Amino acid sequence: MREPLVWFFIIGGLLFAADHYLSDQPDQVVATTAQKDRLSKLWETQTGKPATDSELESLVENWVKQEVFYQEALRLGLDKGDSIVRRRLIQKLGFLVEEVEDKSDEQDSVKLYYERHIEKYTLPVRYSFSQIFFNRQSQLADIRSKLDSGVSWRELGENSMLTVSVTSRSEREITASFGKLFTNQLFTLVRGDWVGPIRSSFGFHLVKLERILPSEVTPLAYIEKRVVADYQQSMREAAIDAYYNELLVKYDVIYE
Amino acid sequence: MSIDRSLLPVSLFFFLILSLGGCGDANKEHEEKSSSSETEASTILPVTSDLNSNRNAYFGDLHVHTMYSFDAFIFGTTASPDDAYEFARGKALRHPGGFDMQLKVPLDFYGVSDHGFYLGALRAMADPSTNLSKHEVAKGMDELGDSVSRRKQFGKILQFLQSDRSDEILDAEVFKNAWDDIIAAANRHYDPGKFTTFIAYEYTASGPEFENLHRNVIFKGDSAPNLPFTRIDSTNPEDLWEWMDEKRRNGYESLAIPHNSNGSNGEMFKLLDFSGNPLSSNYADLRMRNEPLVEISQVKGTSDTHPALSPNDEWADFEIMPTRVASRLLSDINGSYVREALMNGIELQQKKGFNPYKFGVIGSSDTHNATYAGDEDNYWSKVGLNDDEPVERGSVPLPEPREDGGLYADTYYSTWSAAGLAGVWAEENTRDAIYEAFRRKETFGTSGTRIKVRFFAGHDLPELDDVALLTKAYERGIPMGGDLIAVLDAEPEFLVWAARDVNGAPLQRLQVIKATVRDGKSVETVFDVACADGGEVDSQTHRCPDNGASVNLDDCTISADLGAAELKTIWQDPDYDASERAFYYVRVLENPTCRWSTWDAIRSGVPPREDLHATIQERAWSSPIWISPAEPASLKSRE
Repeated sequence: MREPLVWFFIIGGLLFAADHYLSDQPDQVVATTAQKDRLSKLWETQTGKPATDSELESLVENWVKQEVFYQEALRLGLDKGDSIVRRRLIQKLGFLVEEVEDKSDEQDSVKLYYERHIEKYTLPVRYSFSQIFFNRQSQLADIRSKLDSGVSWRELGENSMLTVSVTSRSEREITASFGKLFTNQLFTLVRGDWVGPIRSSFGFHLVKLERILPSEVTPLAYIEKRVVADYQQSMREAAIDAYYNELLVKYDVIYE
Repeated sequence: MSIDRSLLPVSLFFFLILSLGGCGDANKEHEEKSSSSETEASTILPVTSDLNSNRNAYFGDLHVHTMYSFDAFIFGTTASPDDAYEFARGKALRHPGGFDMQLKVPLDFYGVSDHGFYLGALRAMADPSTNLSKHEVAKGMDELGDSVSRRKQFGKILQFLQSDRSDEILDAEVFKNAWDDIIAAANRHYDPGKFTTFIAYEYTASGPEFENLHRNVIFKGDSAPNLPFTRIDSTNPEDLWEWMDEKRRNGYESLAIPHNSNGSNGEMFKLLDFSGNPLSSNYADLRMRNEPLVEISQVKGTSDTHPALSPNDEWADFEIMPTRVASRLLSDINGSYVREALMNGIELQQKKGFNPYKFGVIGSSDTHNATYAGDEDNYWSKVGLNDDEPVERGSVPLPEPREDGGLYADTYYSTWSAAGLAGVWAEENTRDAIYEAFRRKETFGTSGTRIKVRFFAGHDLPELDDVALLTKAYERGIPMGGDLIAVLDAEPEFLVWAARDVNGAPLQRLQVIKATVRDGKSVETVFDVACADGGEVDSQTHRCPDNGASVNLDDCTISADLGAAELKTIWQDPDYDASERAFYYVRVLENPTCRWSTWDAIRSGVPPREDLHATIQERAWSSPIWISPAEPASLKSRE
């Protein structure tokens, strides 16, 4: 039995028989219990009442009719080359891939994600300073001499809506209330004594830079909920990308 | 299907391998960073707080639509509530028109407030895995093209929604899923001390001819009723308030904020209830219990007042939208503006002893792009692909004139504004503190600028240069939103104080708007109370001298060195009468700047459109302070 031709005929004959047998069987349209439930639920949301037996019967009949047409349309290949069908299938595949398993319980994955995106969870450099505000440069000498004679800085200068003591704020936050002009000069100051005046779009400021906190990472334990949410979102996006890349291997893409 | 799924674990595995590859380096880099920095103690604990008993100003937007709003989705918005909150914190978000939107300065609080009715429905129609997508009216939803075809599709759906078959697209599951996602997103992005979110939605009721009765419902807590109360439940706002009362009894504290009274055709603040009966003290209680605030300014115009209502207010003609909402029908002026409603309120109080219109003010955008509205010089308007191009919003001529000869698109978008922010004075940036400020009406609204405005009234206010000015003002006076009872032998003082937006124009003048009931009728007066550039208020006209600030319409540059960074004064009313019922609120005006339509025109190299204001004066409005007479006015009139 080493003759390939003999094998060819045997296998070919079997395939032919199988095909003949299978194609004689009519295609099945099964109205499952689940399908019936779905139809009756849909009816209920649309009409506000449960479907009666006869209504349900006609819903199911209608569904069967559509399903027969649908299967026949597929058999005839009507789905091919139809832009609506194409788009819907693509969307559907997308939704499918997005439904990633929830792995947030797995501490390791979350931790890994956190470490990989540590820059997202890193606090910027933050500044703490106090400022005495005044409107006219001519007020400077008076404020200076009062400071030197021991008057509390909080009693000097003019009331303004600007915060007098800023605690641990980033460049962006300080700029949002004091403006760029002010922040640019703030960064050149050394910590310690009252310096200035610094000019801003509000007026003049004597500034005492008290503390500069370096950029530092927020420990995972403090922001775990946020990291888990970010992680899940990234998994959804990554799944779609990875799936696409994997599929690409199966296709030769030719740009003409 | 099963084959597709089986690929997933493989791709995820690859993803994880790739992730592993990178993380070692990141760690190392981080170690190097921390070792080289100064040896300060960690500040991560305790969290820095702005906690301030004299309260800080926080800015936010409580009127934000995302992909879950039926109209926003069809106009091209696919941004989720998550995207909206990330935008508010400073992240760039891509407009469906293909450009990035980003805030210059992040906001302090934000509330996604999608339309409650048909919440999520249109988006579900475009998702082929849903039942809704199979409905006949969903046909075409997966192939939304340009703005013209989108509007056509929208028209078709609106027609269906108005038919007696509209129930067919009420899908309880879609509704619930969208609402749950909105709640979850708000809770996920709430970062106490830094960024506050609110669970919210819009109750979108209208009268039969586009009389706008919309309000946003804002929840205080981290949970909300199972489903929102929508116009499908009732188009009568009184039913909404009853529902809010009932939910409040079950632990869901909320308040409603009406908006676009300007487009209500007189319905928002009319002097009859929904059924046409005269207003009653029950009505006033019900309304005020649920609606302490009103939105005074947003993209669809400003509702402070109208030139026809306030002929002696030279600044009344500001961002007036003459039409009803979503319509070209003109909106009746009476009953549509905030100042008139406040005035009717004190009249009613005087005559009948109740006031249904004793509200504070905020601004908000009503964006349908999830992303505020942008600034005058960086404006993206609010309805997706409909109005993201200057030509579409009528600021730049059409390539070809219209058939009727018009040079500009025939649209009401040209009357819209780059506007609407809410300001609050709160101890810290948390839900509790900000919500309590809403309830106290210690709020202000702006036309988009971040002017801060303080307003106190009292009989013994401290001097302006008092070191403990604010502490004493809170101790001895009442802040905006509050009540002061007049005393016979002392005139009230007002502390009026505003600071500029560091990214906006300097301030030009500080004003107090007063209304009082005289012989049963309320009358208004606008007082300038502080002037920039050393100007003095004229005691006869109550006006500042013109500070001469101008705008160069070739490039929108403004006068350098004119205007003030801050304006403040202790003011007393020269016409004060202790026997009169009155309210007072502050309006702050910036120096003039280019309107968005002028920026559009300049950038397109065409002259600004002649029938639009080329410049505007950005502004802020405080909530009012009400003063009740020292003795019942009825007694006095008998004397």
